[in-house]
Order: sequence, then structure tokens, then C-alpha cells
Amino acid sequence: MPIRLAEVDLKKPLSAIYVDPGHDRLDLVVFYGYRPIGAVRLPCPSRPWLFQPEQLQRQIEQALGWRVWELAVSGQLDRPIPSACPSPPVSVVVCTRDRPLSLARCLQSLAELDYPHYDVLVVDNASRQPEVAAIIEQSGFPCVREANPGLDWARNRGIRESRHEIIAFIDDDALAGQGWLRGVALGFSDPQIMAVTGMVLPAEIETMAQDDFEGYGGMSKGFISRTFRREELSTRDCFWASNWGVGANMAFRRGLFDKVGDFDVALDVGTPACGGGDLEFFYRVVSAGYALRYEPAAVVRHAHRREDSALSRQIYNNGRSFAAYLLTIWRNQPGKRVAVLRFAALGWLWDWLLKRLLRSALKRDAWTFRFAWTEFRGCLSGWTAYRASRRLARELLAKPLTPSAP
Amino acid sequence: MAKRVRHQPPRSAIRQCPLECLPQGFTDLQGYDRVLVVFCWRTAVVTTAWLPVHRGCVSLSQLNDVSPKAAWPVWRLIFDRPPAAVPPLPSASVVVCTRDRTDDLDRCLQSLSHVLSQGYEVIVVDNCPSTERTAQLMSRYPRIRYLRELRSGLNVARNTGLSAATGEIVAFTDDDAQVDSGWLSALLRNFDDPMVTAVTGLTLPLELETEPQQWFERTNSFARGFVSRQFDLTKAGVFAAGQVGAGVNMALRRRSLEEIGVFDEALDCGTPARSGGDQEFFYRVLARGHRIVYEPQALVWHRHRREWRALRRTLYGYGVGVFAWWTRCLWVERELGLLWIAPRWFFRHHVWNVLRALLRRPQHLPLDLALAGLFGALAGPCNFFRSRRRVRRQSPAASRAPAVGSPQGHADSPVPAPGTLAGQDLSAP
Amino acid sequence: MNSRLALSIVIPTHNRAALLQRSLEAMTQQSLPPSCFEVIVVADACRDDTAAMVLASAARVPYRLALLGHTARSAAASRNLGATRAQGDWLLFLDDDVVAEPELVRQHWVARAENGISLGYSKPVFPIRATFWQLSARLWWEDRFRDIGRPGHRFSFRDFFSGNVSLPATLFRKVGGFDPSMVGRLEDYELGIRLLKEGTKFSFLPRAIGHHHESTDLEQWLGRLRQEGEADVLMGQRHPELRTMLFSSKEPTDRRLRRLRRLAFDHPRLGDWMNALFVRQTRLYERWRLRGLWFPLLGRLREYNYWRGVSAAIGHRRAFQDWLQEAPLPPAVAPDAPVHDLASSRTDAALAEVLDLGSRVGLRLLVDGSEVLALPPKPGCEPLRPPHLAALVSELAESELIPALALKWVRAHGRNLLCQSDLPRLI
Repeated sequence: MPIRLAEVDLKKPLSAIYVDPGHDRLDLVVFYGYRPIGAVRLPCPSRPWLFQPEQLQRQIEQALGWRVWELAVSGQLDRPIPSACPSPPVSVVVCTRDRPLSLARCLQSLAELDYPHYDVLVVDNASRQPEVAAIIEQSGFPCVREANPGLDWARNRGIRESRHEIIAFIDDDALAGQGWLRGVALGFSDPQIMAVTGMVLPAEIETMAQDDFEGYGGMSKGFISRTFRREELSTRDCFWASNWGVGANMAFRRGLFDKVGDFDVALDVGTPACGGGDLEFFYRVVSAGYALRYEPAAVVRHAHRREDSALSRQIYNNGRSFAAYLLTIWRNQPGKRVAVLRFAALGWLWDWLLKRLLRSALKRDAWTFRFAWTEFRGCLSGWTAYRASRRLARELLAKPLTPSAP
Repeated sequence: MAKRVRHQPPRSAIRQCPLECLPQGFTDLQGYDRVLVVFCWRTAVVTTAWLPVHRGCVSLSQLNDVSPKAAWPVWRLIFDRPPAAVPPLPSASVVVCTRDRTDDLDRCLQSLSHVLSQGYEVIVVDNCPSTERTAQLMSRYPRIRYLRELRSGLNVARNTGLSAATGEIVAFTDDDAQVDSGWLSALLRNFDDPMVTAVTGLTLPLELETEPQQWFERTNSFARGFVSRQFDLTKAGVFAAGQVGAGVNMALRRRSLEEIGVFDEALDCGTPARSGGDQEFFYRVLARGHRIVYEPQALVWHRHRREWRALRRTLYGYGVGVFAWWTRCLWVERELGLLWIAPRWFFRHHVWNVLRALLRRPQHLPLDLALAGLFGALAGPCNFFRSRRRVRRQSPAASRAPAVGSPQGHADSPVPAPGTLAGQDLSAP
Repeated sequence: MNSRLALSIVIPTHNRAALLQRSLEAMTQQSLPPSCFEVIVVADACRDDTAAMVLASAARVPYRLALLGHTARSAAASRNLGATRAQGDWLLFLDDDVVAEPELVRQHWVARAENGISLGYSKPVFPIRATFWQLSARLWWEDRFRDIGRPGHRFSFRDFFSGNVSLPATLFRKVGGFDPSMVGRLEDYELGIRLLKEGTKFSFLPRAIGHHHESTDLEQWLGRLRQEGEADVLMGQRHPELRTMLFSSKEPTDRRLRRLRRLAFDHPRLGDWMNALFVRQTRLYERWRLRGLWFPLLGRLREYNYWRGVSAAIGHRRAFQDWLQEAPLPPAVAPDAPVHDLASSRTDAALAEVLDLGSRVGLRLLVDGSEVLALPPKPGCEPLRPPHLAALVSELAESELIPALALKWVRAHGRNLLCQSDLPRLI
């Protein structure tokens, strides 16, 4: 079952790749320097197998030769960051809660970033395990403690406490690629871009659940960079914020928070809504007329859930959080209610959930049906979850501000 | 006025962008809302893209996002090497038909100066001038032949130019266009295939300063792609004539006209049929089993109409012209396929545009323009018959262009030999 | 030059006196002195006044004109007969409907120095009232000649058109001349196969122009397609190594065409009746100018009639498939086939040697070490030579070579790729 993941850089000579017995496939992500070009899948028998450089070369040529040409013609290969803003200083914010091992790996990867000017801030969102503090201290990065449970609380705290103009967020179960911040800086090279999201690749595919998650779509939004602006999107596409990026890998300019506000504390992991905070923020950015760029050069690797039950819960939460996200828009933007309703009924419920459910039922596609059904159930629980979340948020906001632990 | 500007930004710019060294973006676009970026590589246009302008800037990321479209045209250009023994370019004449547009004509002739210096013949045919301004302008160009054609009609003027031309190939351009430096040689080098009778080129807008110009470019752009294509009977239907190009940028082989015939004088500007003369000619070329090549390296910059009323008249004219030349095909050539094609086009294009305007779908054509096209289409057939009667009254002898496959063939109106001109040669002695 | 008669022009004819007269008149206008060539007209079962006209012309024309007659009803036999009586050491075969331009014979005369087969350019000429079929046939012929005339064109037996071709008389006799038992018009293709096996060199003379006054129409052409089907079977029997190749290129591409093929084999009588019906329908479409319906119908008629000819020659579908299976397998690229890297530079002699070997056992083409194409040996084509490779690369550049070249150039030049004044050209 396991799938071997590897990266190759076309700028360097290819070397042979050895695949251990038991692996079904080699998933190769092809880079040119720091820019990812595409992925190639090479099946292999379950024996110990060696891919020769010539074979890899040929497969890469067949699959991605034209894409390399397109990038070369459009001037995107080897494109240096313009001298106007070469490498702006970046504050990296990691919000963590009770995941010491993942956090350790994440911080390790952040220490090895290839970028001249950055600093890291760890926001401990009311962790109960003592190892977390020890690991943070070992890493040497500054830490603040946010007592209110909820990822968005932690993010907002991170915004307040960080220093630099650009703030980049990464999840504690993700590993930053060496060129992550270079990709972020590339996205921000256009002064009109206010938000940048990046590509999230799987860190490992060792269990069925991880493979299923990738097969279901994963977290990557493709290898082609795009800018999202309200004027260029149709009314329906304006609501599909999940197509623009994920919260595990996003970066913003500080000025944006002054203009559109902070993350909505009623949403995201740690609240009954279980997610949606990043989506809701993306939506707010775009609907306020600012530009959001999806830049695949900002690569981060995320360790997906290993067990099936955890995966089901994840999908369930996806459905629930998307419902909560839509309800938040309904509440916050009364002028758009008709559009939200149309989108929720036609675009989301019908096109995305029910049609897939029915189609997979008719075709007896058990795999898709399982996920579609879980997501649908999650969606049904969205309303109650949203209500609970808002109540909790109100309570927390009403509490007097406690001085935060350093 | 307010209702017209609602859906369309007021100004668009045009910028050229060499792929060899992409600029870092454009920052001088204050006041513009969109820009048409023309990407070039080694002097050939490889692709164009419309980009929104944000606060007067277009960033490098935006350019990078659209420039992959150039990948295939650039690839083709790299491998488009001429054959080992390049045949010499045939002799050619350039004909410009004009009517009361002296300033535009002046600019056009200035752009043709390199053609003159290479030794090709340039002829200006003045069609029914109402003033002497054009004649006065032509006195400044002693090397250009100046003819006057007193019968009104763009196709009449084209036929006059054809009969006066001495070159093997006759290239046409309009008086409101300006040609690029490699234009004529790019057209001429496609004539080594003996079955090629017509070559058309790429036409891009010269400016997009006013709203009507932008609407015209959005809906009726003359550009047909950036990769060269061939059209003939077996590959595309004869009614692909609408897709092969336009009379603003074309070249013909004179010898083949014996078989195909000349332009039909009942069509195009200056007659009740208003337009369609060039498309009807392309149809006849294809129907006669000849080939048309679209060569995007033959570049011409066309100045679209600037005023709203002129745009409306133009779109009305296009509606009339298409249905007029289809009526001719149906009536004279007995092309019964049109009984299916014409209604389909009418509903899918004209009626659908009007509906979209009424329903306010995104990026719909303004209602008055859509209606102009629709009324034009409805008036097309009658206008064609009126035009034919008018031509017959004017000169009964040279009335009809030959029908394809008709028993008389080309005996009716062969290409007049040089020296038997209908108009007057007023070039300086 | 010497006044020895060196070139013999053989013209087979059958009931086309008027056209033949024009051809003979054209011979008087030739730029080559008439003492250098002779014309032999072979009248094949002619009922009209061909004989009288030729004899009358013989008195007038400056060149030697001979008339032979027989009733074999086969153009191949006529040409063979003419060749046996020819006195020159160079044979030029012309059809009776090819009216030569003044330079034609001289071009063939000058090409004798090559000592190979010289193909002339027969420009198709159709009457003014050309039908749809004639128009598309004209386009087909002109494109065919353009392809043949391209530098680096690799000649195959399908390029041997006996309407305007010259070759040494000794070679003709050596391979045994045309095969009279080949029906239809494929005796020239069949001779082409044999000539290629001898290793003869082909060349194309673009200035040896003859005006080919085609008088075929759709029905005649469909009949000829049937004969072509039968002839393909005969050729497949005579030259088994070509069997698979002959039919693989005619394989129907979609389901409807496959059904037509099945109809031709399994229900020929019904098929023939439907064929007659649809031919009448094409006339209707033509009258109403419904090209969008006419062309697809033509494709289907072509498919049916060809396979009808095959089924007439071989019988049942099963018999045909068995017969195909019996053929030797199409040659594949040998495991030890020579390898040529397009990016490397070899001396001309070395390259010629590699290509020659490659034509026999197969050739692997690489770009910078990675394989892009494996070329199996192609029976029925002339051996590979360096000019062929250049044309092949040009053709492949638009498809197979894209991945390898793109990556190679990007790695070599990086950011400055598009600024290169001449991207490294292969060959």
C-alpha cells in the first residue's frame, strides 16, 4: 500500500531512486529550482525496485515536457524576484495545541528555511501537555500562550504579537519546504496582492486513509498559479473559497487586517464549528475587492490523518465547517443573502453534495459515496454547530482580557 | 450615454510585450481599465490577451499568467523554417481603395513607404470622392498610382485596382489600416503552393481609445489566431469564409481569377448590401477548389470606428452583408445548404445577442448594437436584390460575377486586361 | 548533342483519339531536338479512329512515330509491348491524357545522368464545370506532388505514377516490366515495389510538367477503387512482406466505416444495391450543393467500394483475416538496432552508413541520450539517407520531439531561452 514520495529538481542531474518493497507507486513532484512544475506517477511492482535516471528522465519528459516549455516561454522559469522588493521580512506564525511530535518536526523545518530575513513565533493555544512547552523552548523560537481555545483566537494573537509586514501562517502538523518563503515572496512581488496561499503536498502516504484523502482532492490546488479578484470571478465562484487555498499555508500583508478585520473567532478548529475560519477570511478578502494569489511555489508538506476514523471525522468537519462558513456570511453581509442562498442551494448542496451522492449511488461507486455521504451529514449538523460556536465566542469575548502568558 | 458606459470601461490601452525580455509590468496605465497586451517574439505576434488594469498598473504576475498561451505559436515559429531552396518572391502590387478618408489614407500610405522602396507597385483607387482632398494628398506621393472610380462600391474599386495592377499577386488593404514592416513578404511567401489563391493576415486594433472601438474588438475582432492555417474544400466547409480573414488584409493571385472571377460589384461598402464582398469572394475561392492560407505574420493595424453611431452603422452593415452574400449564394449558386445555415446563424447569433442584452447576462452586447445587427440581418436579402438591380442599371454589360459551375463559366466577366480600365488614371505623368 | 536516338516515349491508348492527338501535337513543340526521341503509340483494342489519326500524324511530325496495336485490354501489357519495340536505352512512359509542356522531354533527357527513376509532374486539369469530386481530386493530386517535391521526401512505391515517368530500359527489362495480370491501375505501384527492391534511386522533376486531363468522375473512380482492392490483394499475395502494411493504412477509423467493411464482405449484393442508391444520392447532394452531406457520403462510398474489391478477390471475411495473419509480422526494431543521437554530429559518410543499416534492421533516434522514436524498417520505401532524416525531424518536431527538445533547451539556456538567435537545430 504505501506510496513512495520523492522530489526531483530538473536543474540538477537526476539520480536513481530506490523504492522499498511493498510500495505500489512512486509519486514524483518535479521542481525547477524552487518552482514546482507538476507531478508524475510511476507504478512499480511490490519488489525492491530501482528507477534509473534515464527512465525517470523519459517519464518526466513525456508527462511534463510541454508544461516546462510553456513556463519557459512565459518567462516563469528561473524568474528572479524583482529587485523592487527582493526578500521582504516575514513573520512566520505557528499555532499549536497538544501535538508535540508534529510541532517538533515543523519547527525543525522552519529553522532550515532558505530565506534571509524571517522570524518565527509560536502561539500555544492552551496546550495541556507539558512536552509542548519543552519543545518550543528547545527550538529557541519565541512563544506566546493564548488561553482561549480556538485556532482563530491563536491566529489573531499571532497577528498582534508579530512584527513584520508580511505574516505567514503554517499549521503545526505541516513541514515547510526550503523554498517556502521564497514562494511567498514571489506571490507578494506584485504590490497589489494582499494575500498569498500556497501548495500543500502530502508529507507521506503510508495508510489507506492518507491515500483516500489525496484521492478525494487533498489540499493542493494544482500547479498553476492564479490570482483571484472579485471582478474576475462569477457570483458562484466567489463563494468557493475552498478553491483558493488552505489555512495550513497562507500569508497576508499586515495592512489587510486593518481593512477587513481579523479571523472570525466563532469558526475554525477548536470551536464547535471545527473549521472554516480560513475560508471565511479568504472570502472576506476577495469580496472586499482585494487580490488573493495562489502561488504553488510556496510549498508545504502536510501529514494527513493516518486512521480511517480520523479521516471520516475530517470530512465530516469539512461539511460542517463549510456550512458554518456560509452561515457566517449570511449573518455578516445582509446584502448578499440572496446570493448566499442561491449558492448554498444550487452550487453547494445540489451541485457538489447531492449530485455526487446520487451519481455515486447510481454507479455503485462506494468510495465516492462514502465521502459524499459523510460530508453531507456534516453539512446537516452545520446549523447547530454554528449556533454553539457563536455562543461560545460571545462568552469568550465577554470575558475580561486576561494578560497573556509570554 | 449613461446606459452605454455601464457595462464597459471607458478606455483600453494596447501594449506590446516582447517575450525575450518581459517588462516588469506596466505602470503607465492611469485612466485605463483594461489593456490588450500583444506578445511578440522575433517580430512576430504570438498571442494577445486582455488584462484588467488595477490602479494604473499591470504586474509581471499578470503577464506571466497569460503568456503560456504563446507556447504553441512560438514552437511553430521555431520550426517554421523556409524550404531549402527558397523560391523567389513573385511580383506584387498593393491596392488601397479609399473614399473620403484623407487623413487615414495619409497614415496608411506612410506605412506603405517600405513597400514602395522595395520596388513594389502601389495603387490607390479613389471611389466616388466628394471633395478633392484625396487628390491633393496624392500629389504628395508621386510614385503611387492614383486612379479614380466613379461608380460607387468597394468591390467596384477593388476590381478597378485588379485590372490596373501589373503584379502577379495583388495585395489589398484598407485606407484606415496601417501595415507592419514584414507584411507584404509574409503574404507573398505563401504563394509557392500552386493551389493557394488567397492569403489573409492578422489584423490587430491600432487603438482602443473609445468605447465603440473596444466593443468592436470584443465582438468582431479581425484576428483569427496566431498559428498559420490552411482552408480548402476538403478541410473546412465553404462557409468557413467568415473565419479565414478579412479584406483589410489579403492578397490574391491574379492568374486564378480567370477561373474564380472577380469581386461581385453588388456587394460591400458603397452598395445597399453594405459589406460581405470579401467574404463572398473567399467563398468562391473555396468553392472552386482553391486554397486560402491564413498567415498571422502578415500584420496590419486597423483603426476601428470611434463613434457610437458609426459602430452601430457598421454592425448593421455587417448584418446586412452576411445575409446579402448568402442570398447571392442561394440565388445564383444554388447553395441549398444555406437554408439550414442561415436560420441557425440568425438565431444563435443575432437573436441570442438580443436576448442576452434584454436579460442582462454578464458581458452582453448593448441592446442597440444587438438590434442593429438583427435588423441588418433581416434587411439583407432585399438589399441584395436592390443592389443587383442598381448594378444592372449602371452597367448592364459587366453585371454579374460568374457563378460557380455555371455553364458560361468565366466568359461573362473575365479579369479585364490592363489598359481597359473602367476608371481614370490620375497618377502624375 | 549526338543525334542518336536515346529516349523512347511509350504511350498506351484506348479509344481517346482526340486527347491523343493533342498529346502528339505537344510532342512537336518539345524543346529537345526531335531526332533524340521516338514516340511509340500502343493502341489497345481501339474502335475509334485512333489508328488512322496516328498514321496521318506520323507523316507530319518531325520525330519518329510508331503505332502498335493489340487487344490485350491492359495498359500494363501495352506498355510492355511498347518497351519491347523501343529502340532507345531510356524509356519514358506517358499516358495518352497527359499533354506535355515543351520542357518535359528535355527534363527527362537531362535526368538520365542520375541513372535512376525520374518522376515528372502531372498537373491535373479539370474542365470548367468541375464537380465536387474533381475539385477534391485536384487538391489531392497537387498536394501529393507537393509532398513528393519536398526536399528529403522518402520515396515509396506509391509514388510511382506511370503517367509521366522515365527509367533505364535495361532496368525495366531486368525487373520484368509491368505485370499484366494486375487489374485496375495498380500495375505501376506493383512495378514500383520491384524497382525499390532493386535499390534504384528515385527523383522528382518539378519542371517536367505534363497537363493531365483527367476525365474520371465519381462512378468511374469508385469502380477503380474496387479494382484497387483486388489489386491490393494480388500485391499482397505476390509480396507477402507488404501484406500487413498495405491494409493497415486502409483500416477503417470509426464504427460506421467498420460496419461498411462488414457489409462489403458479408452481404455484397445488398451492399451493391445500397451503393447504387447512394451514388445517385451524391448526385442529388451535388445539385443542391450540400457539401456538408456530400463529403461524408463520399468517404463511406470509398470505404465500401474498396472493401468490396477486396472481398471480390479473397472471399469471406474470415478468409481475409486468416490470409492477413499468415503474412510475416511487420518488421520491428531489432534489439541491437543502431542508435543515432540527433544532437550529435557525425560525418556524412558515417551517418549514411548508420541510416543504411537502420533502414534494414530499424533505427533508434535519441535526443541527448533519451530515446524519442524507434523507427522500424519500412518495406516498400527507399533506404534512409541523410536528407530523409532532416525531413523526418522537421515532421516529428511538432509532436514526438516536443518533450525531449523542450527540456533540453530549457536546461541548456534557462532564462535566456527565447533570446537565442538560433536555437540549436537538429540536423
